[in-house]
Amino acid sequence: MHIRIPSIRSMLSSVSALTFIALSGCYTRFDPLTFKDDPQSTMMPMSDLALSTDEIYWPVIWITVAIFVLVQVLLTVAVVKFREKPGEPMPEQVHGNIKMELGWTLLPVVILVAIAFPTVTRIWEAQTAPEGEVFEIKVVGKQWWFAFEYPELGLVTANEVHLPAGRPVHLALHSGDVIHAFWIPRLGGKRDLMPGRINHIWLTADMPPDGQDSIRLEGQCAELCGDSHALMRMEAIVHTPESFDKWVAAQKQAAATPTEPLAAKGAETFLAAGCIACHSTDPSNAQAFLAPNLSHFGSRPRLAADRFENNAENLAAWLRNPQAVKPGATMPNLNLNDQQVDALVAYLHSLK
Amino acid sequence: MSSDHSNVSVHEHPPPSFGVPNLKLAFWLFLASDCMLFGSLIATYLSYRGKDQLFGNGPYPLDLFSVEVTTISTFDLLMSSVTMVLAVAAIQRGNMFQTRLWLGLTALLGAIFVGFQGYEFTHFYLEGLKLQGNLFGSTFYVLTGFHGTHVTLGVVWLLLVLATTFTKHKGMVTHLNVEVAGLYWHFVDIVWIVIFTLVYLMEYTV
Amino acid sequence: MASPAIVLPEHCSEEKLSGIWSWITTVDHKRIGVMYGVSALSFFVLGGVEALAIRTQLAMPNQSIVGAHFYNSLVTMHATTMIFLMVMPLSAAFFNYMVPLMIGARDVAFPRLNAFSFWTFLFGGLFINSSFFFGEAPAAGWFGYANLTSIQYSPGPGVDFWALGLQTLGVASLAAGFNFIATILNMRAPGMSLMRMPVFVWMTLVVQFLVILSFPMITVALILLSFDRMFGTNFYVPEAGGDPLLWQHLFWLFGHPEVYILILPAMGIVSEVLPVFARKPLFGAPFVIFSGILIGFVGFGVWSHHMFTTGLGPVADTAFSLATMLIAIPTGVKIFNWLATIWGGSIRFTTAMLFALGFISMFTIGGLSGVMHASPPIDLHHQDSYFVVAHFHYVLYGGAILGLFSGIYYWFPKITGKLMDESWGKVHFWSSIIGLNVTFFPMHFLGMQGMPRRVYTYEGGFGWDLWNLCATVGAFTLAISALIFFINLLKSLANGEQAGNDPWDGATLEWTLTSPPPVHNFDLMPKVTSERPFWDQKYGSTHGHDDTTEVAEEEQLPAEIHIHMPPASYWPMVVSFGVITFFGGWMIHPAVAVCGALTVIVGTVAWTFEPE
Repeated sequence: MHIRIPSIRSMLSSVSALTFIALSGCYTRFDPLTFKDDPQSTMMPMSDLALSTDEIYWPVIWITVAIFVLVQVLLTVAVVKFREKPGEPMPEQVHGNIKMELGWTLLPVVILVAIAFPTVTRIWEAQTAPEGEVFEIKVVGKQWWFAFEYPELGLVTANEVHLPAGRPVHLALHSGDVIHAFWIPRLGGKRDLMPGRINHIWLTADMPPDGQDSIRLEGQCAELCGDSHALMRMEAIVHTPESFDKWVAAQKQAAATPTEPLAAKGAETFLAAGCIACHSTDPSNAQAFLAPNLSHFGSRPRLAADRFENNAENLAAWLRNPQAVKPGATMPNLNLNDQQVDALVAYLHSLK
Repeated sequence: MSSDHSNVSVHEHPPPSFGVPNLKLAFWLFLASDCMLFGSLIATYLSYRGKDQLFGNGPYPLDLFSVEVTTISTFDLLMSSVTMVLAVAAIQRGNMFQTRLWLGLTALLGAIFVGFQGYEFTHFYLEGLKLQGNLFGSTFYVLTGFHGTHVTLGVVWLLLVLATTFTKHKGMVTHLNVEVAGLYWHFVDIVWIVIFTLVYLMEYTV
Repeated sequence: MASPAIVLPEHCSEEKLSGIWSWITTVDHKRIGVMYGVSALSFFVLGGVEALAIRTQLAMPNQSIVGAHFYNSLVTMHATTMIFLMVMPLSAAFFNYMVPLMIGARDVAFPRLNAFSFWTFLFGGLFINSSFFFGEAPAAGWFGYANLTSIQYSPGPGVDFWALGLQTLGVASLAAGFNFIATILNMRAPGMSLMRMPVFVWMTLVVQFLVILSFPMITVALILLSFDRMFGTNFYVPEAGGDPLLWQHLFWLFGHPEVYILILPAMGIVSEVLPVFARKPLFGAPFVIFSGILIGFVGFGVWSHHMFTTGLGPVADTAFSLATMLIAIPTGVKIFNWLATIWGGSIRFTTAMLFALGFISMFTIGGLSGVMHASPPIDLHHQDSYFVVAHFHYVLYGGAILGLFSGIYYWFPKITGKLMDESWGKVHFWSSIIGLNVTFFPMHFLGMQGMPRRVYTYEGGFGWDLWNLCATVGAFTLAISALIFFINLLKSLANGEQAGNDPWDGATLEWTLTSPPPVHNFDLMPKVTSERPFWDQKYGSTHGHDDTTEVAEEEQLPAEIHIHMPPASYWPMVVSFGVITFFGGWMIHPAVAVCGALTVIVGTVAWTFEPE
């Protein structure tokens, strides 16, 4: 035998000790791997849900890295040490060693048990409704945008979800057509929006950092849902309590009637060209799951399911030919002329 | 066989290492596979059972099923298993006349079962149960339809086996063929018992 | 021992075995194996081109080299091609060519059924790919999640091509499954008990059991889908009470065993290659075998770990999470047994060995990231992100394909009688390793940065640009490495060095034969006394007790041996044609499908009455 075998007991005890250290003391976040400047990073938790995942994510990363290194080192040593040498006699014909094999069967058992415990507790925590008052938000995914309804506030938004920091939130996930997935990585793992079913996410978002009023978090659909799946994005805006109240108050204001002539003409076009058939400009119109609610559209930084900057040029391109911007989009091409487009752009941007 | 073992190994393939002829072994495997097929179809039926009350319109199982009629067809199919056993026994004894008789009778009973199913399908269809209607219609027709297809193919197969008994291939080959056809036939019967129980006998809550 | 004269039937003569017709009608497992291999490698090129198109589109943000819909088709067809038309049939090539040789049989249990499997596979593969020329290639993903596949959301013919093509491939796989289990269980040479079977044969056996038990479930899933699309049923239509989740259950009940269908053959190959080039027996062969069996069993109980995001509830999540962790144990056992096999050996670094060692190294990465997904909290991040793309490419490229390449370099001399060029082989190996790490390692980072998979475009500013570019460069490196492989293959085929019967000092029965082996494989049925029959013959038994004496006894051999070989037949191909006409026919007119069914029945009857 070329290998000296430590006894199984000593191996087991050292492994479980190592694993314990890994899991309890080793919640070490390795800065370059947090991708902290990337807006959709899964490694920068901003909620209790995301943090509980983070606490198990890192130990598991380190455990897998350790096993990987162990295997590669053994492989390298074997390859270097046991390369064929000229005139070498036939190596000893070892058929196996039950003790060793049992040893490396039990080694993964210990590690997996160590991973299993925190895993199972987290499965239950994440899927249990918290005690006490919860802020309700209904999420509806459609090809290819998200609608959000706040029943307590009587408000709806499209492609932007506003959350109060520090308050438990319940996201009730619905689908209007095919399967989508709700994923804002900094708030936690994804959950599918299943047609015919309702799924749930419970979380409490952290306060915006550095004394900011609010922070914008990026997310997008994570289940292939047709042609423009890649363009189905959304943002979460996490507010401090004061900022949230302010946003609610502003949002409840009906859209101001445009005073500027071009915008006023746009308001007429909005009715005449048929936009109103699907889009509502009333912030409380919950019927508006047909198409994105456009009240306060002018205050949104992004358009077309959070995919493009909301400027005059992009909006005009979208109005002229929605399918060119977003393949397969259900908004019909209304064949608007240049004056109509300009007027609509002015009108929509006046909705603040 | 062990005494002339070395001779056999020189000329031909050695005897089956597993002790079961290739054809029979392959058919057992096919039946295992077919179990998964029916298992999935039955699971589909069960998972949608009763859901038609919530979605779409009738008719519902209770409006249509006549357990009496289906019991007769079930009895018919069970009897065909008996005749199948007799056919296998007959060929083991080398009695060609009886083999042909029982094979023919089994095929006939099978055909009668298919006839019952044809009647049932027509009747249900005229009562308004469409494949495209409610979930009950879709799952019922697909599950029992697949079983019916199995029975139909079985009848064709039995008739083919019957035909081979009139050709010059006799002895071992035919014997094995009858036995394997028998395996298939019993399997199809057993599946029907499961379907009959789960689809017709298990109570539907209204 | 005087060798007796071998008399083969007239249909095995030289002139009867040349020309295209002889290939079309062949029932010889070796020729069928070669045809599987050639087809699989052709589809490999196709799937590779699709991969390059995908990577070109994603090289930089906001590109529009291909459109959104066509991109989805590329993703769907890349996966479908690589899984069903490349890895599975390339494994089948080795099952066909090698299993009968390794167990000491003249052919498989049902030679004509074997030909039928091949032609059905080929027609099915061509059928799915023909969709590119008929308007629309399938674009709903290789996993075809309902209800995106419904007629409402996928009105084009793509999904029909996909569903009916997969049915056809399923028929081919099932037929091969019955055939190979019967072959392995029943046609072993005298003395080859189950535990003396080569590990590759064992893994083949496990794979075929997985095939025959898992394919019926996707058959049902696809039948329900096709009924929904063609006859207007509502199995997956939520508005009518249908449940899209039913599809996911049925699909992954098949889909997870399918993962092991893809990886176990490669594990079997590696378990053959490592001992030969380390000049040691496989360390703990029973452990390796039983862990393979265990992987197969548990593989049926972990499907819902593909569905943690669908909201099955904490009970199901817990159960499937623990079952998934369980399956890591036998996988880990294999890795350590392989390491122990080369430990203390005398390693020769042939290309085949390099690929086997590369397999251990790369597959470990894929296996470990798999353990991460076993934990649902982590999986909720990884699911449908690029991290998962990285994971299964390490399993399938770093695992399955490296293993299969190892098999090609290892058995090419046996199949062709010529050695593959070792220098080109080494270039191929290192460019593969570099290419695959440059392509797939950055995808871990992309996943951690929150990039979802199956997106045809992305914006700048998310930190994804560099890693995507990196992956694209890697993909082209892999393409070059594949090109080097094909050049080597053709060059060696044309003027490779003569291999001789036993170029690697092998241990199993196939190396006792000439290269290439004669049409009837074995003159005399070999008698097997250990798991390394040929090694024992050369070096003596290494088991404690010497049971080689059994073979030594002289047998009275006749002067002439008449060998029965099954005659060529075109009926298998006719029946295959009937199968594809039956399935494809539904897209044209039910009458065409009926014609297909009649062809199947007529062909089967004719086949039955053919002399064997």
